[in-house]
Amino acid sequence: MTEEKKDKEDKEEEDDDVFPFIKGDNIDLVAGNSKWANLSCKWRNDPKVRHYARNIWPQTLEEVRKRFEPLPDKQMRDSIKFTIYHKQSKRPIGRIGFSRIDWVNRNANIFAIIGEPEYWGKGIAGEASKLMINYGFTELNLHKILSGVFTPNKRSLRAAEKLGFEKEGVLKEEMYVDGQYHDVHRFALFKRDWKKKDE
Amino acid sequence: MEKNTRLTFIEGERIELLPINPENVKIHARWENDPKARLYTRNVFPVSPEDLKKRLEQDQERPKRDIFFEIYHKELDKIVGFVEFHNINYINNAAYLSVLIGEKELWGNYLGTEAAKLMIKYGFEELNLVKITASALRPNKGACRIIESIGMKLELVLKNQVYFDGVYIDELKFCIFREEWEQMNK
Repeated sequence: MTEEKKDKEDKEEEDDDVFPFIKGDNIDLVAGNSKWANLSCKWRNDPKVRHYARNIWPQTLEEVRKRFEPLPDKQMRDSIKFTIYHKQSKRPIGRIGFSRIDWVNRNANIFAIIGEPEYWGKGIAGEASKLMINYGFTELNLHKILSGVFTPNKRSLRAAEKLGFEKEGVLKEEMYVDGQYHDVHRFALFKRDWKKKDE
Repeated sequence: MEKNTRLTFIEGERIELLPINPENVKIHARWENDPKARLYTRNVFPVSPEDLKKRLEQDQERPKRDIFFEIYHKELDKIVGFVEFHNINYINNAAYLSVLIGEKELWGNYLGTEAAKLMIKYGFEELNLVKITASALRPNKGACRIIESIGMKLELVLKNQVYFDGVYIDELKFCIFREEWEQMNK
């Protein structure tokens, strides 16, 4: 088999295992696949990525693989995660999801990580977040979506504002990063305000 | 039961709602098996205290899919029945309500009504539900009385849905919405 043919077959194989759950323009939100454990592991350890994602623990491939295991048989999850899949490049480039889902109070924390730095600054996180937020309000029936961003992460601060999040407050010196304490800015978005945007 | 050892969760006028006490499993089994009490609940299988114990042990998840309370009668100082939410759906914000007064001599005193009213308030104000449903078999006059007096309205009739005493009979589905309930309680 020549290199080219093999590459093509690999890419086609990739398509078979890609299960879009929410479709976007440049990206789809797809179900996680343990095939991508090595990529996920790379992102979690990559100094550039983990600086903003706040991974301070080294992650082994075994640890990361465990995250792809089926969830225990619970009715309701306290987190929901998707892989961000770039349609044109046909590759996973990040992760997005809700964590700390509170079903009675109907709120959740949104997080997004673009693991491949060449995709930063291209509006990917914004597009993925829009899809995720829409899903949260119109499918999960959430009332409020929260997000926390620490001061040096200017891109995420801008992204939150563009999406219509409002600053709820500041948690002072909440995070210790690179030898310094930083403030975390708390943002919130309500379902009533999101619907208005769509109209 | 002493007031300070009793685990009152919701307080009513004549009754209180308490979490299920596993020590009462024999009383629960008596009610669940009692031919008159189980007549309209359609428990067609016998239930042993072991079965009930097991049911309690499965109750581990959060947020809870089912919530059970014992109905404690203050004056008589004993538990007299159950009231429950089943199949709580946190995305649809709906749950199914069920009441059983196990002590037959207390039937006809609207104790079931009082328990159901406390449960509905708990469901709308604490669990953030939007719709509460209940069902009753057509011949079950007692249940239909309770259901109407708590403000539920008939939503559906499932025809010949249940095999009862040798024939198929209708099951009636009722519901109440939070908006309606808030209006009623202004």
